Amino acid sequence: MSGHTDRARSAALLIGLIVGFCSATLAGWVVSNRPYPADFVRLHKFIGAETNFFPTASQLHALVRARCSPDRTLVLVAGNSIFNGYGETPQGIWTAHLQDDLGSEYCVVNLATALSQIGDIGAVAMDMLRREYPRMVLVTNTLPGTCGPPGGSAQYRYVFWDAYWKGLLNAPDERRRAIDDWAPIGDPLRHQNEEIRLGRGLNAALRFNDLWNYVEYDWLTTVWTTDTRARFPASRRHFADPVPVIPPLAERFTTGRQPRRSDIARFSSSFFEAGEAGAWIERSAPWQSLEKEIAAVLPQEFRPHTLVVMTELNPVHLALLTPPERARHAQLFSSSLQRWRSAGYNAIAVGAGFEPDNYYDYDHFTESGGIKLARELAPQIRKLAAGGGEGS
Amino acid sequence: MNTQRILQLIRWTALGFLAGVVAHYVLYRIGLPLQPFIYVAF
Repeated sequence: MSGHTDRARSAALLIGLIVGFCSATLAGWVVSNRPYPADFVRLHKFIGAETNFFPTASQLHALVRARCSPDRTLVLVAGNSIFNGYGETPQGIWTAHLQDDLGSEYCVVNLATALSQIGDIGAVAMDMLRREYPRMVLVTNTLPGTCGPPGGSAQYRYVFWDAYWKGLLNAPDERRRAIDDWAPIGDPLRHQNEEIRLGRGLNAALRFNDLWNYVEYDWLTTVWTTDTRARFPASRRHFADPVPVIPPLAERFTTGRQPRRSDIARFSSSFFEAGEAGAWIERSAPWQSLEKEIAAVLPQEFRPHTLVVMTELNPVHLALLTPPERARHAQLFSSSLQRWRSAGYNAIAVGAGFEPDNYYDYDHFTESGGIKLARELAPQIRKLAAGGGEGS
Repeated sequence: MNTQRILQLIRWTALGFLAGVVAHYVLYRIGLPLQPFIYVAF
Protein backbone atom coordinates (compact mmCIF):
# COMPACT_ATOMS: atom_id res chain seq x y z
CA MET A 1 0.00 0.00 0.00
CA SER A 2 2.85 2.39 0.95
CA GLY A 3 4.73 1.55 -2.28
CA HIS A 4 1.60 2.26 -4.28
CA THR A 5 1.20 5.65 -2.55
CA ASP A 6 4.83 6.55 -3.20
CA ARG A 7 4.47 5.70 -6.89
CA ALA A 8 1.33 7.81 -7.14
CA ARG A 9 3.11 10.75 -5.47
CA SER A 10 6.14 10.40 -7.74
CA ALA A 11 3.89 10.26 -10.79
CA ALA A 12 1.99 13.35 -9.60
CA LEU A 13 5.26 15.18 -8.97
CA LEU A 14 6.67 14.22 -12.37
CA ILE A 15 3.48 15.17 -14.21
CA GLY A 16 3.41 18.50 -12.35
CA LEU A 17 7.07 19.10 -13.21
CA ILE A 18 6.57 18.41 -16.91
CA VAL A 19 3.40 20.50 -17.07
CA GLY A 20 5.09 23.33 -15.17
CA PHE A 21 8.14 23.35 -17.40
CA CYS A 22 6.07 23.11 -20.58
CA SER A 23 3.73 25.87 -19.40
CA ALA A 24 6.70 28.17 -18.76
CA THR A 25 8.08 27.32 -22.21
CA LEU A 26 4.73 28.03 -23.82
CA ALA A 27 4.51 31.33 -21.95
CA GLY A 28 8.02 32.15 -23.24
CA TRP A 29 6.90 31.55 -26.82
CA VAL A 30 3.82 33.73 -26.29
CA VAL A 31 5.75 36.70 -24.87
CA SER A 32 8.86 36.47 -27.04
CA ASN A 33 7.40 38.68 -29.75
CA ARG A 34 5.97 41.21 -27.36
CA PRO A 35 7.34 44.65 -28.16
CA TYR A 36 8.53 46.49 -25.10
CA PRO A 37 8.96 48.96 -23.64
CA ALA A 38 6.09 50.94 -25.15
CA ASP A 39 7.88 54.22 -24.48
CA PHE A 40 11.25 52.96 -25.70
CA VAL A 41 13.90 55.61 -26.36
CA ARG A 42 17.13 53.66 -26.00
CA LEU A 43 18.64 50.62 -24.32
CA HIS A 44 19.43 52.45 -21.11
CA LYS A 45 21.29 51.14 -18.09
CA PHE A 46 18.30 49.38 -16.54
CA ILE A 47 17.38 47.45 -19.67
CA GLY A 48 20.91 46.59 -20.66
CA ALA A 49 23.92 44.47 -19.79
CA GLU A 50 25.10 47.01 -17.21
CA THR A 51 22.43 45.64 -14.88
CA ASN A 52 22.38 42.08 -16.23
CA PHE A 53 19.39 42.56 -18.51
CA PHE A 54 19.94 41.03 -21.93
CA PRO A 55 17.16 41.69 -24.46
CA THR A 56 16.64 38.75 -26.79
CA ALA A 57 16.83 38.99 -30.56
CA SER A 58 13.05 38.43 -30.79
CA GLN A 59 12.43 41.27 -28.39
CA LEU A 60 14.65 43.66 -30.37
CA HIS A 61 12.98 42.48 -33.58
CA ALA A 62 9.50 43.07 -32.16
CA LEU A 63 10.55 46.43 -30.74
CA VAL A 64 11.60 47.80 -34.14
CA ARG A 65 8.57 46.34 -35.91
CA ALA A 66 6.19 47.91 -33.40
CA ARG A 67 7.74 51.34 -33.83
CA CYS A 68 8.27 51.52 -37.58
CA SER A 69 6.05 50.56 -40.46
CA PRO A 70 7.85 49.07 -43.50
CA ASP A 71 6.72 51.93 -45.79
CA ARG A 72 9.11 54.28 -43.93
CA THR A 73 12.88 54.29 -44.28
CA LEU A 74 14.23 52.51 -41.24
CA VAL A 75 17.26 54.17 -39.68
CA LEU A 76 18.80 51.67 -37.28
CA VAL A 77 21.21 53.36 -34.94
CA ALA A 78 23.71 51.01 -33.34
CA GLY A 79 27.07 51.28 -31.68
CA ASN A 80 28.38 52.12 -28.23
CA SER A 81 27.54 54.55 -25.44
CA ILE A 82 28.29 57.60 -27.60
CA PHE A 83 25.42 56.77 -29.96
CA ASN A 84 23.37 55.49 -27.05
CA GLY A 85 23.35 59.11 -25.93
CA TYR A 86 25.13 58.72 -22.62
CA GLY A 87 25.28 62.30 -21.31
CA GLU A 88 21.97 63.25 -22.98
CA THR A 89 18.49 63.16 -21.50
CA PRO A 90 15.92 60.74 -22.98
CA GLN A 91 13.90 63.75 -24.19
CA GLY A 92 16.83 65.61 -25.72
CA ILE A 93 18.72 62.62 -27.07
CA TRP A 94 20.45 63.10 -30.42
CA THR A 95 18.35 60.45 -32.17
CA ALA A 96 15.20 62.44 -31.35
CA HIS A 97 16.80 65.41 -33.12
CA LEU A 98 17.82 63.12 -35.98
CA GLN A 99 14.20 61.98 -36.30
CA ASP A 100 13.07 65.63 -36.43
CA ASP A 101 15.73 66.48 -39.01
CA LEU A 102 14.86 63.52 -41.23
CA GLY A 103 11.09 63.90 -41.03
CA SER A 104 8.26 61.40 -40.87
CA GLU A 105 9.32 59.44 -43.95
CA TYR A 106 12.10 58.06 -41.80
CA CYS A 107 11.87 56.03 -38.61
CA VAL A 108 14.86 56.23 -36.30
CA VAL A 109 15.39 53.49 -33.69
CA ASN A 110 18.31 53.73 -31.29
CA LEU A 111 19.66 50.27 -30.41
CA ALA A 112 23.13 51.50 -29.45
CA THR A 113 24.30 50.59 -25.98
CA ALA A 114 27.46 50.77 -23.86
CA LEU A 115 30.23 48.47 -25.12
CA SER A 116 28.24 47.25 -28.12
CA GLN A 117 30.18 46.81 -31.35
CA ILE A 118 29.18 46.76 -35.00
CA GLY A 119 28.99 42.96 -35.20
CA ASP A 120 26.40 42.44 -32.47
CA ILE A 121 23.10 44.29 -32.12
CA GLY A 122 23.46 46.48 -35.22
CA ALA A 123 24.49 43.72 -37.63
CA VAL A 124 21.91 41.28 -36.27
CA ALA A 125 19.06 43.80 -36.31
CA MET A 126 19.92 44.74 -39.89
CA ASP A 127 19.99 41.10 -40.93
CA MET A 128 16.68 40.31 -39.20
CA LEU A 129 14.83 43.28 -40.67
CA ARG A 130 16.25 43.89 -44.13
CA ARG A 131 13.70 41.82 -46.05
CA GLU A 132 10.83 43.50 -44.27
CA TYR A 133 12.20 47.02 -44.65
CA PRO A 134 13.26 47.57 -48.24
CA ARG A 135 14.67 50.98 -47.31
CA MET A 136 16.99 50.66 -44.39
CA VAL A 137 20.16 52.39 -43.24
CA LEU A 138 22.39 51.14 -40.43
CA VAL A 139 24.17 54.02 -38.71
CA THR A 140 26.80 52.83 -36.30
CA ASN A 141 29.74 54.39 -34.52
CA THR A 142 33.14 53.09 -33.63
CA LEU A 143 36.39 54.48 -32.35
CA PRO A 144 39.00 55.09 -35.04
CA GLY A 145 41.25 52.06 -35.38
CA THR A 146 38.66 49.71 -33.90
CA CYS A 147 35.95 47.49 -35.33
CA GLY A 148 35.53 44.33 -33.26
CA PRO A 149 34.96 40.73 -34.34
CA PRO A 150 32.00 39.64 -36.52
CA GLY A 151 30.07 38.45 -33.46
CA GLY A 152 30.55 41.79 -31.73
CA SER A 153 31.40 42.44 -28.09
CA ALA A 154 31.61 39.84 -25.33
CA GLN A 155 28.49 41.30 -23.69
CA TYR A 156 26.27 41.23 -26.78
CA ARG A 157 27.57 38.44 -29.01
CA TYR A 158 24.70 36.29 -27.72
CA VAL A 159 22.32 38.32 -29.92
CA PHE A 160 23.64 36.68 -33.07
CA TRP A 161 23.14 33.14 -31.73
CA ASP A 162 19.73 34.00 -30.34
CA ALA A 163 18.60 35.25 -33.75
CA TYR A 164 20.39 32.41 -35.55
CA TRP A 165 18.72 29.56 -33.67
CA LYS A 166 15.34 31.25 -33.81
CA GLY A 167 15.60 31.46 -37.59
CA LEU A 168 15.29 35.24 -37.60
CA LEU A 169 18.28 35.93 -39.86
CA ASN A 170 18.13 36.39 -43.61
CA ALA A 171 21.82 35.61 -44.20
CA PRO A 172 22.52 33.10 -41.42
CA ASP A 173 25.13 30.99 -43.21
CA GLU A 174 27.43 33.77 -44.29
CA ARG A 175 27.39 35.41 -40.87
CA ARG A 176 27.85 32.10 -39.09
CA ARG A 177 30.88 31.25 -41.22
CA ALA A 178 32.44 34.61 -40.37
CA ILE A 179 31.75 34.10 -36.65
CA ASP A 180 33.02 30.49 -36.64
CA ASP A 181 36.18 31.55 -38.48
CA TRP A 182 36.77 34.06 -35.71
CA ALA A 183 36.89 31.47 -32.92
CA PRO A 184 38.93 32.93 -30.09
CA ILE A 185 42.24 31.49 -29.07
CA GLY A 186 42.46 29.83 -25.67
CA ASP A 187 40.22 27.32 -23.92
CA PRO A 188 38.40 29.67 -21.52
CA LEU A 189 37.21 31.93 -24.34
CA ARG A 190 36.38 28.99 -26.59
CA HIS A 191 34.31 27.43 -23.81
CA GLN A 192 32.57 30.75 -23.20
CA ASN A 193 31.65 30.97 -26.88
CA GLU A 194 30.40 27.40 -26.86
CA GLU A 195 28.28 28.14 -23.77
CA ILE A 196 26.68 31.13 -25.48
CA ARG A 197 26.01 29.12 -28.64
CA LEU A 198 24.44 26.20 -26.78
CA GLY A 199 22.56 28.38 -24.30
CA ARG A 200 20.94 30.34 -27.08
CA GLY A 201 20.16 27.14 -28.97
CA LEU A 202 18.27 25.92 -25.92
CA ASN A 203 16.54 29.28 -25.57
CA ALA A 204 15.32 29.11 -29.16
CA ALA A 205 13.37 25.98 -28.19
CA LEU A 206 12.52 26.65 -24.55
CA ARG A 207 12.28 30.47 -24.51
CA PHE A 208 13.51 30.89 -20.94
CA ASN A 209 15.36 34.14 -21.70
CA ASP A 210 12.27 35.54 -23.40
CA LEU A 211 9.91 34.63 -20.56
CA TRP A 212 12.06 35.71 -17.65
CA ASN A 213 13.10 38.95 -19.36
CA TYR A 214 9.39 39.68 -19.66
CA VAL A 215 8.84 38.90 -15.98
CA GLU A 216 11.90 40.97 -15.09
CA TYR A 217 10.63 43.91 -17.12
CA ASP A 218 6.93 43.83 -16.27
CA TRP A 219 6.49 42.06 -12.95
CA LEU A 220 9.50 41.94 -10.69
CA THR A 221 13.26 41.95 -10.81
CA THR A 222 14.78 38.68 -9.73
CA VAL A 223 18.37 39.67 -10.51
CA TRP A 224 20.11 41.64 -7.80
CA THR A 225 22.75 44.09 -8.98
CA THR A 226 24.42 46.98 -7.21
CA ASP A 227 22.61 49.44 -9.47
CA THR A 228 19.14 47.93 -8.97
CA ARG A 229 19.42 47.15 -5.26
CA ALA A 230 17.84 50.44 -4.13
CA ARG A 231 14.45 49.39 -5.52
CA PHE A 232 14.87 45.62 -5.64
CA PRO A 233 12.65 43.72 -6.55
CA ALA A 234 10.69 46.40 -8.45
CA SER A 235 10.32 45.50 -12.12
CA ARG A 236 12.57 47.14 -14.70
CA ARG A 237 9.82 49.35 -16.06
CA HIS A 238 9.89 51.21 -12.77
CA PHE A 239 13.52 52.15 -13.33
CA ALA A 240 13.60 55.36 -15.35
CA ASP A 241 16.23 56.08 -17.95
CA PRO A 242 18.83 57.89 -15.81
CA VAL A 243 19.07 61.63 -16.42
CA PRO A 244 22.69 62.80 -16.51
CA VAL A 245 23.87 65.52 -14.16
CA ILE A 246 25.94 67.86 -16.29
CA PRO A 247 28.34 70.04 -14.31
CA PRO A 248 28.91 73.63 -15.45
CA LEU A 249 31.53 73.94 -18.17
CA ALA A 250 34.10 75.48 -15.81
CA GLU A 251 34.11 72.33 -13.67
CA ARG A 252 33.17 69.67 -16.19
CA PHE A 253 36.65 68.78 -17.41
CA THR A 254 38.69 69.70 -14.37
CA THR A 255 37.01 67.94 -11.44
CA GLY A 256 36.49 64.22 -10.85
CA ARG A 257 38.08 61.48 -12.88
CA GLN A 258 39.60 62.93 -16.05
CA PRO A 259 41.72 61.26 -18.74
CA ARG A 260 45.41 62.17 -18.75
CA ARG A 261 47.45 63.04 -21.81
CA SER A 262 48.71 59.44 -21.95
CA ASP A 263 45.12 58.12 -22.04
CA ILE A 264 44.30 60.29 -25.05
CA ALA A 265 47.64 59.53 -26.74
CA ARG A 266 46.98 55.80 -26.34
CA PHE A 267 44.16 55.96 -28.91
CA SER A 268 46.71 56.32 -31.70
CA SER A 269 50.06 55.27 -30.21
CA SER A 270 49.86 51.56 -31.07
CA PHE A 271 49.04 52.27 -34.73
CA PHE A 272 52.09 54.34 -35.70
CA GLU A 273 55.79 54.65 -35.18
CA ALA A 274 57.85 57.78 -35.57
CA GLY A 275 59.42 58.15 -39.00
CA GLU A 276 61.78 60.75 -40.37
CA ALA A 277 61.09 64.50 -40.24
CA GLY A 278 58.18 64.12 -37.81
CA ALA A 279 56.20 61.76 -40.04
CA TRP A 280 54.18 58.91 -38.58
CA ILE A 281 54.58 55.51 -40.22
CA GLU A 282 51.81 52.92 -39.94
CA ARG A 283 52.69 49.77 -38.03
CA SER A 284 51.54 46.82 -40.08
CA ALA A 285 50.16 44.45 -37.38
CA PRO A 286 47.35 46.63 -35.91
CA TRP A 287 46.24 47.83 -39.35
CA GLN A 288 46.17 44.31 -40.76
CA SER A 289 44.15 43.24 -37.76
CA LEU A 290 41.70 46.13 -38.32
CA GLU A 291 41.40 45.31 -42.04
CA LYS A 292 40.66 41.68 -41.18
CA GLU A 293 37.91 42.69 -38.76
CA ILE A 294 36.39 45.18 -41.21
CA ALA A 295 36.35 42.50 -43.93
CA ALA A 296 34.56 40.02 -41.66
CA VAL A 297 32.17 42.12 -39.60
CA LEU A 298 29.39 42.66 -42.17
CA PRO A 299 28.54 40.79 -45.37
CA GLN A 300 29.37 42.66 -48.57
CA GLU A 301 25.73 43.30 -49.42
CA PHE A 302 25.09 45.13 -46.10
CA ARG A 303 27.90 47.62 -46.61
CA PRO A 304 26.34 50.06 -49.09
CA HIS A 305 23.49 50.52 -46.58
CA THR A 306 25.79 51.09 -43.62
CA LEU A 307 27.20 54.38 -42.39
CA VAL A 308 30.17 53.99 -40.06
CA VAL A 309 30.71 57.12 -37.98
CA MET A 310 33.80 58.06 -36.01
CA THR A 311 33.26 60.86 -33.55
CA GLU A 312 36.09 63.18 -32.56
CA LEU A 313 37.18 63.59 -28.95
CA ASN A 314 36.59 66.68 -26.85
CA PRO A 315 38.92 69.55 -27.93
CA VAL A 316 39.77 70.16 -24.26
CA HIS A 317 41.29 66.69 -24.03
CA LEU A 318 42.82 66.79 -27.50
CA ALA A 319 44.66 69.93 -26.42
CA LEU A 320 46.54 67.82 -23.88
CA LEU A 321 48.40 66.14 -26.74
CA THR A 322 51.71 67.44 -28.06
CA PRO A 323 51.64 68.72 -31.68
CA PRO A 324 53.17 65.47 -33.05
CA GLU A 325 50.64 63.42 -31.08
CA ARG A 326 47.82 65.53 -32.48
CA ALA A 327 49.11 64.88 -35.99
CA ARG A 328 49.18 61.16 -35.22
CA HIS A 329 45.64 61.32 -33.84
CA ALA A 330 44.43 63.04 -37.04
CA GLN A 331 46.22 60.41 -39.11
CA LEU A 332 44.47 57.66 -37.14
CA PHE A 333 41.13 59.09 -38.25
CA SER A 334 42.08 59.49 -41.92
CA SER A 335 43.76 56.06 -42.14
CA SER A 336 40.80 54.36 -40.41
CA LEU A 337 38.29 56.04 -42.72
CA GLN A 338 40.30 54.91 -45.71
CA ARG A 339 40.21 51.27 -44.47
CA TRP A 340 36.44 51.31 -44.04
CA ARG A 341 35.85 52.99 -47.40
CA SER A 342 38.10 50.67 -49.35
CA ALA A 343 36.11 47.72 -47.94
CA GLY A 344 32.89 49.15 -49.40
CA TYR A 345 31.41 50.88 -46.35
CA ASN A 346 30.28 54.48 -46.15
CA ALA A 347 32.37 56.07 -43.46
CA ILE A 348 32.64 59.58 -42.08
CA ALA A 349 34.23 61.41 -39.18
CA VAL A 350 32.19 63.98 -37.27
CA GLY A 351 32.89 66.38 -34.46
CA ALA A 352 36.02 68.09 -35.78
CA GLY A 353 34.53 71.53 -35.18
CA PHE A 354 32.62 70.76 -32.00
CA GLU A 355 33.17 72.91 -28.92
CA PRO A 356 33.90 71.86 -25.32
CA ASP A 357 30.31 72.58 -24.25
CA ASN A 358 29.12 70.03 -26.79
CA TYR A 359 30.76 67.32 -24.69
CA TYR A 360 29.68 65.66 -21.48
CA ASP A 361 33.12 64.15 -20.91
CA TYR A 362 36.07 63.33 -23.14
CA ASP A 363 34.02 61.54 -25.83
CA HIS A 364 30.29 61.60 -25.02
CA PHE A 365 28.10 64.48 -26.13
CA THR A 366 25.69 66.78 -24.36
CA GLU A 367 22.41 67.65 -26.01
CA SER A 368 24.03 70.55 -27.90
CA GLY A 369 26.62 68.11 -29.27
CA GLY A 370 23.86 65.65 -30.10
CA ILE A 371 22.02 68.31 -32.11
CA LYS A 372 25.20 68.97 -34.13
CA LEU A 373 25.76 65.24 -34.60
CA ALA A 374 22.19 64.79 -35.89
CA ARG A 375 22.58 67.75 -38.27
CA GLU A 376 25.79 66.31 -39.70
CA LEU A 377 24.38 62.84 -40.13
CA ALA A 378 20.91 63.61 -41.51
CA PRO A 379 22.10 64.59 -45.04
CA GLN A 380 24.38 61.54 -45.17
CA ILE A 381 21.51 59.25 -44.21
CA ARG A 382 19.25 60.82 -46.83
CA LYS A 383 21.90 60.26 -49.45
CA LEU A 384 22.37 56.66 -48.42
CA ALA A 385 18.63 56.02 -48.40
CA ALA A 386 18.43 57.46 -51.90
CA GLY A 387 21.05 55.00 -53.07
CA GLY A 388 24.11 57.22 -52.86
CA GLY A 389 26.80 57.18 -50.23
CA GLU A 390 29.38 59.25 -48.52
CA GLY A 391 32.99 58.35 -48.73
CA SER A 392 32.42 54.89 -50.16
CA MET B 1 -9.69 6.79 -3.47
CA ASN B 2 -10.62 9.13 -0.67
CA THR B 3 -10.72 12.90 -0.80
CA GLN B 4 -7.70 13.27 1.42
CA ARG B 5 -5.60 11.19 -0.98
CA ILE B 6 -6.80 13.16 -3.99
CA LEU B 7 -5.90 16.40 -2.24
CA GLN B 8 -2.49 15.00 -1.43
CA LEU B 9 -1.88 14.11 -5.10
CA ILE B 10 -2.99 17.58 -6.16
CA ARG B 11 -0.50 19.04 -3.71
CA TRP B 12 2.29 16.89 -5.16
CA THR B 13 1.29 17.87 -8.69
CA ALA B 14 1.32 21.55 -7.70
CA LEU B 15 4.73 21.09 -6.12
CA GLY B 16 5.96 19.43 -9.33
CA PHE B 17 4.49 22.30 -11.37
CA LEU B 18 6.37 24.78 -9.25
CA ALA B 19 9.58 22.76 -9.60
CA GLY B 20 9.09 22.75 -13.40
CA VAL B 21 8.72 26.52 -13.48
CA VAL B 22 11.76 26.90 -11.23
CA ALA B 23 13.78 24.59 -13.54
CA HIS B 24 12.82 26.86 -16.45
CA TYR B 25 13.92 29.90 -14.43
CA VAL B 26 17.21 28.20 -13.54
CA LEU B 27 18.01 27.83 -17.25
CA TYR B 28 17.61 31.61 -17.58
CA ARG B 29 19.55 32.37 -14.46
CA ILE B 30 22.60 30.17 -15.15
CA GLY B 31 23.16 32.04 -18.42
CA LEU B 32 23.59 35.37 -16.62
CA PRO B 33 27.03 36.62 -15.58
CA LEU B 34 27.68 36.59 -11.84
CA GLN B 35 28.46 40.29 -11.96
CA PRO B 36 27.39 42.84 -14.56
CA PHE B 37 30.30 44.33 -16.46
CA ILE B 38 31.91 47.40 -15.00
CA TYR B 39 32.49 50.13 -17.51
CA VAL B 40 35.98 51.60 -17.17
CA ALA B 41 36.92 53.95 -19.98
CA PHE B 42 40.44 54.80 -18.90
